[in-house]
Amino acid sequence: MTDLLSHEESIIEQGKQRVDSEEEIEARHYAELLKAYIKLNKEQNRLIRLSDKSQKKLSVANAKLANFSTKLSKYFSPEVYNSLFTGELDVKVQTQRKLLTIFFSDLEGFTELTERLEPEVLTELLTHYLTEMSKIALRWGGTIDKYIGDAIMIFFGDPASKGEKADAVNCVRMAMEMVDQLAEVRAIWKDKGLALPLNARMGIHTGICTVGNFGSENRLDYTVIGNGVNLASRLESNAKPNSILISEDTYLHVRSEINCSKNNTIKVKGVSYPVQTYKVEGLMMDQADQFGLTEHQIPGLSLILDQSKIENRALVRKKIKEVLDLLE
Amino acid sequence: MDNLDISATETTPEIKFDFSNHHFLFGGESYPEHSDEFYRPILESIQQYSQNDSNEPATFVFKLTYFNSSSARVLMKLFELIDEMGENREINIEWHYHEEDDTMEEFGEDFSDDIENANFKLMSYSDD
Repeated sequence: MTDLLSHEESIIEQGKQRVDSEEEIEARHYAELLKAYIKLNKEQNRLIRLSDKSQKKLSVANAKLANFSTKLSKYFSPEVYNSLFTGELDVKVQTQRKLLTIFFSDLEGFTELTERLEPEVLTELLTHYLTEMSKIALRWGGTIDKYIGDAIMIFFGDPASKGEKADAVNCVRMAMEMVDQLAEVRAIWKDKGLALPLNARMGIHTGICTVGNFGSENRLDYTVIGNGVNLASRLESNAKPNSILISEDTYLHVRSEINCSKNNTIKVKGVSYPVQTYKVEGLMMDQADQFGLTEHQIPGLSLILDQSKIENRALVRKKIKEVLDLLE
Repeated sequence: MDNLDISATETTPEIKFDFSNHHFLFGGESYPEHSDEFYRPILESIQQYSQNDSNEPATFVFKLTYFNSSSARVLMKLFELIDEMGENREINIEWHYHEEDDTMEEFGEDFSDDIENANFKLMSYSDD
């Protein structure tokens, strides 16, 4: 039986043999070759068209997929999203026990704000606040677990971890930057006429938690549960406005880099012992130098210089000179 | 001849050849890793069928939703073979395509140009 799929090869082979034999090529041979050539040419054109069409379809499908995944990514923490897309994280009910640092924040008097503000303004305010805070969280490598109205829950140590100590330090550094950034958000909204100041309370705890995909086979939520989560939430509710309250477990991880003051103890449901708390005061001076931070608080002067954030040094020098001129 | 019944896989189409009823079906997607290997026994069975003495009308149904270049090459060979069969008996070819799939419609039109001895029908279908 002739192999249909090697028909062209056999025609080529026959042609070669005729050429090699140096016999005169008859018109019928030439006609046969011409017919095969016309057929091949037609096939080639058809295959090119098919290939082009497939490529076009693929480009359209890719663009759709890219657009869809961009939209989808906004519903996930980038850490979780990346783990899902690289296949590191399975899409099934799966949890593990891990040492994590959990962060909670909440806006003071937010309920009053919701009653006072028009929904559109409230949406704009909340979007602005959450966007600014999320940017900071992602820069420090936090996994944004969820937003609950104005509250934010973030954890460090999963899916990616830089080590228990680094995770705890990064979480506290993130919270400190959030406090600074909130001052800017507050000023913007004050200029817009917001009568109530925006103040946030923040709480951080480091402890063993259960993290992973919770839920049903049809609807999963990548989150963290355990007493440690409740404790971080309690620390947040006990924090003073625009301050960060951390547990002793977090303090023990960050004390060499973060300056903290001993605070009161709190009782937490599910924890049999009183929990010692610490208030975050700032970076240790050698750390501040390393990051180009200078902070001075004296009556009549509040000065924070963060060199890592400077975009235009000449402008900073000009502003400082203007202030100095005022004191002349 | 024994009927041929090959279930569809992710990359190969469903093949159903009912030789006694002279009905041949190709359905689904076709992008096998080795097209020649997959299609060789299929083409051979049609070639063998074409050599029997039956004069019964035969129907070839194509309900493909996607095929790659090497499958397209095989399809062209197949149409050549079917068309040759049409010199001696009535051959009907049905090319089904989804009403929104202009690529499959165009390829049906394209393939029909090569057919001289068979009835080539382009048939659109919807999701309903």
